[in-house]
Amino acid sequence: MKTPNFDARMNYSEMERVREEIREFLATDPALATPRADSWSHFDAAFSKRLGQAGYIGMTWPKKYGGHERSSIQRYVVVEELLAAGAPAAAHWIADRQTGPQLLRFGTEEQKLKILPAIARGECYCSIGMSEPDSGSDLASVRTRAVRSGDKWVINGRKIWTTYAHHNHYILLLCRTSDDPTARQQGLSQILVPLDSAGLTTRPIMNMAGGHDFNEVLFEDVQVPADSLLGKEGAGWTQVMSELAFERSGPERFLSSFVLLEAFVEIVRREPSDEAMTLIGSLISRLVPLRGMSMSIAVQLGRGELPNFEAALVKEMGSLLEQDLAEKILGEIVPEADPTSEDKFKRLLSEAVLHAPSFSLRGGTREILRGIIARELGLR
Amino acid sequence: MSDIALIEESARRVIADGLTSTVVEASEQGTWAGALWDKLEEQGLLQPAAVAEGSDAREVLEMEAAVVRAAAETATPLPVAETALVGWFLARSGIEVPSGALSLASFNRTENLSFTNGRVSGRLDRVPWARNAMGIVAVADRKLVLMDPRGSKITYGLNMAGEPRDAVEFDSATPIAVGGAADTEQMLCRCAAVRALQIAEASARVLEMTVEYAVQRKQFGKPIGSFQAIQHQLAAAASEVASARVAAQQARLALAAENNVLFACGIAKARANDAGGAVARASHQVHGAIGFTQEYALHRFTRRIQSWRAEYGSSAFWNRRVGELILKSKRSVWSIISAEG
Repeated sequence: MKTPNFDARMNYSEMERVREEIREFLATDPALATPRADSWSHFDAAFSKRLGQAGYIGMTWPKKYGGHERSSIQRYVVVEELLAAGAPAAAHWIADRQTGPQLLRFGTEEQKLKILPAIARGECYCSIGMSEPDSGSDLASVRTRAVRSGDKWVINGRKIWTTYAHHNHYILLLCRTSDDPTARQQGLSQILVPLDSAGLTTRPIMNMAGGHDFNEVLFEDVQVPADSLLGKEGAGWTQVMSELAFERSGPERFLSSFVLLEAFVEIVRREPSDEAMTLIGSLISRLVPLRGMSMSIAVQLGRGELPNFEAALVKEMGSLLEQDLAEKILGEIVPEADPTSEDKFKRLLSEAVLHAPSFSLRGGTREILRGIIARELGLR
Repeated sequence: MSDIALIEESARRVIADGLTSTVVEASEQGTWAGALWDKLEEQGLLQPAAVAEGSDAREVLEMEAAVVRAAAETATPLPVAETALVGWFLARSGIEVPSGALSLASFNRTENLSFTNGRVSGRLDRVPWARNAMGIVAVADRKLVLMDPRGSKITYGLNMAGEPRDAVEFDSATPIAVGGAADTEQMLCRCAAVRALQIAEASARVLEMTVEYAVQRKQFGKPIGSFQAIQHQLAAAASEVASARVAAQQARLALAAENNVLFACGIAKARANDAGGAVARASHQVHGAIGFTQEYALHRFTRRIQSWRAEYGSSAFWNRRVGELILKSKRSVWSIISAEG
């Protein structure tokens, strides 16, 4: 049985200054007038540009690609401060968290020089191109097809649950580049496609909270230059697996509704009750160790490791905690949730409850994550 | 190899040699595992604080954790954790640490020893291994006292794992030594952090046993571990174990830094309590009836986990304390959580 590697020892001096810096930035930023539960689902390009200009996107990347060469734990601090404050961080989120790092790992010099500086400035946003209408948890069954024709790739197919494809600039597509029926995983590649390409259509899918972040993206003879391929042809599956450690381990897996807890505490401070006090303690007792686990993963990612097992454990526990947070506060509290209310707490509660089902779906369902953990335990 | 790794390896070796099935059975019947105890003492494993004299608190705590881990992951039926804790408290009070098994009070609010004219009176309930102890640390009239249980009235009791939890009555007893002012709450935190580690490490072993069993046991022509219903229970249990271990480490770091001690230790114990309960339940479910038998070792761990959950603070107790800490503060929850080392 494999034992996950978590070490909660941290160099806090490295974190202190950047924490103060980002807090100062957020304290005066106009977007923070309306804090958001599920903050990294709220798109605000102006906010992301200000954040990028201040040097908080692509923080760990080399300077020649527009990065700031800071440590992964310093980036971690910035990310958790954004979430804890309820900042509308969706525009740059995916690009900063996974598309950028993916480009750094697998991209050509030309690709890196072209795209990374724009991401770091907070001006270039990316979508994940993994799920398809018939390929959700069974990701290796994707059918979107790219065929090489001269110096171009010609792409046909459909992607779904594509967050902010209607605003973003690129989609990093996982698609089939081989017809060999035995090469289920080996026939896949990653291609970076501009979302304004001819033949690419974006259709909105409204979520149950009434928001439009999801889309279905249609590819009808979309042509991109041959050098849009990311990494190696046929290596798409292994590349995507490395993306997932970035996607699954971050503090957004347990802090995206944190502002709701903060608002709940404000209410209980005014009207204390024993039940609410115990509930707050029980949520904090789950959150603090999770944060330690996530920070430990950030350090490992910074060393170039890919802690997929550890990331799956964080996401498994984090999504449960986030769902419990919304659920238990809803069960405890008197004021009713109201998505349109002027009252911050009522609005946040509504946002958290309505988004809660997605917590254990996005980034890999609970069932898939438990399967990954089971494999690491040696059960499959 | 670091000193800490050496100590852990040496503790593991001594326990592996000495904790035979005969010793385990005799211990279940109430016999003191004296030979194993003597060996641990001989190797200097019972007083990590003394071994690590001159090193910083963090190192001492990690050494202690190494020994406690080795005992918890084997369900060693001896007061290894208690003796280490007493060593820490006495060393910090400048009191010489007696040899032999040592134990301590529960440090809860109902304990009330009087201290007049240099003599201590009153009753301590549920003292671990009091019948075998050479000294018991308690708080009498807000002072740390080291009491000699021999000569006091001891009423035998057991926890669910069959570990002695005795009542000790002192009637104008003269302490072996008296220390300075004692902070009962800080002592409770320190003990809670150790019990949290014990629960986490016993749970880790339980998970390991259960995974091994699920791989070997076949039904419907295949290992039961290949069924998703089993995999998902064990995956959830693995996440519980991981977070309990991290919480225990966070508590040690807070204790070493003397920073946010109540917060971190309370969280560690609450997390370990809940994780331990979940892991014990899942492990028995996956083991089926064999795990419910006396001959199979699973219960040696799960009975300890269940017993330790109530000691030095239940989840409800600590969740309430952590919640109270947050509510009484004027700072945001986030600034409390993110204020570190």
